[in-house]
Amino acid sequence: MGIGMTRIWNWLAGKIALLLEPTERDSVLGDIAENGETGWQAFRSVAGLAARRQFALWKNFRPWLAMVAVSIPAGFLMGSATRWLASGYNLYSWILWNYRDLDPSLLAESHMSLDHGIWGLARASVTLLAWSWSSGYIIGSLSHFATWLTGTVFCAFFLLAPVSYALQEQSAGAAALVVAGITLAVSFFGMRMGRRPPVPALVQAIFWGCSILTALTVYNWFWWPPLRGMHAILLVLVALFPGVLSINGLWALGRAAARRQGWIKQPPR
Amino acid sequence: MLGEFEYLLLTAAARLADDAYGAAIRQEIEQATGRPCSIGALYTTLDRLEQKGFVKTWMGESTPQRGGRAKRMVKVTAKGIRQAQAFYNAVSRVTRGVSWESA
Repeated sequence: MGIGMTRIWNWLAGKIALLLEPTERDSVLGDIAENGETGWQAFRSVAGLAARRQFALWKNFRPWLAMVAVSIPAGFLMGSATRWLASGYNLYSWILWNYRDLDPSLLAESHMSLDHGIWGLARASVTLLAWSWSSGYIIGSLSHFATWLTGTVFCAFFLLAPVSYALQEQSAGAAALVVAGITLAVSFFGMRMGRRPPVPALVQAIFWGCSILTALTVYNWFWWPPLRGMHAILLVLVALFPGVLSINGLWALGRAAARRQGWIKQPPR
Repeated sequence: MLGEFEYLLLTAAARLADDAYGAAIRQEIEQATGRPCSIGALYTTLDRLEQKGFVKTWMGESTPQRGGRAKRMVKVTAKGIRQAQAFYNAVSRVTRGVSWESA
């Protein structure tokens, strides 16, 4: 095997090792170095262990909860919200560009005055970013080392609406992709933070329930102009996040209580 | 009752005593069986044995040979020793009177 290929396999082994817990990663990579395994051998060793660990993770209900209750529905609904937000940005950039030629009273009559539009867009953007961070946080805190998969599914469902919009409408579609990129970046940040476990799960549930309700109060008509009937689905989404975290929190509290009573064993590490 | 690989791992760790850690146990098993031992099988079995209380593991020292990375040290517990003895006795009993020598 050439040196180039060996380096690629070594690099891949290092990346795959990120799926392991830090202490295990340290000992496994040390064992591989000590045994003089490089390239394909090193990759195969790390990938084999990572695959077993990933398989074991999916025996728990949490990654499934993250996938079914958050990644798919939240990804899809927030992707749709991104699309409508981008169409709003597109509309108001056109209004700004042609403002001199437009009649301000006509804009006011059609509820498209500049101050109304800019304020509405700002509120919708902040709300969307809050939601995307919350989604990422919940996905990360529930999935931990399976976040790469639940996060990928979230991205795939999220991108459905903006990408299809970009294929239909060139100028507005480009705006949709930019908004989607920013929103997804915020989601990834949330996922990273969610993987650290400093806050008890029930506290997270209360905190995020409050944040989502706050987000709902700044919700405005601009999000779903032609889809008023989507409000019901939106309300389901609003209830979903605290619901998901409450299930997780109650489960964690139940297990902790069972450990104290000696009904289940203390984890070894 | 232990599995075959669990018994191999316990025996290798017991033989290595204070020098029992991931890479050393792996080499010991490979030398004894003449078959490759994957890191995945080794570490998942170690976890299982630790959950059952048959071994105790902790992070040990790092060496330059390992690129400065720590070892996962292993010690067989009293419970693990009893389980290994029971497995060995069972294999000895079941093998009594049977010759595997090829004719």
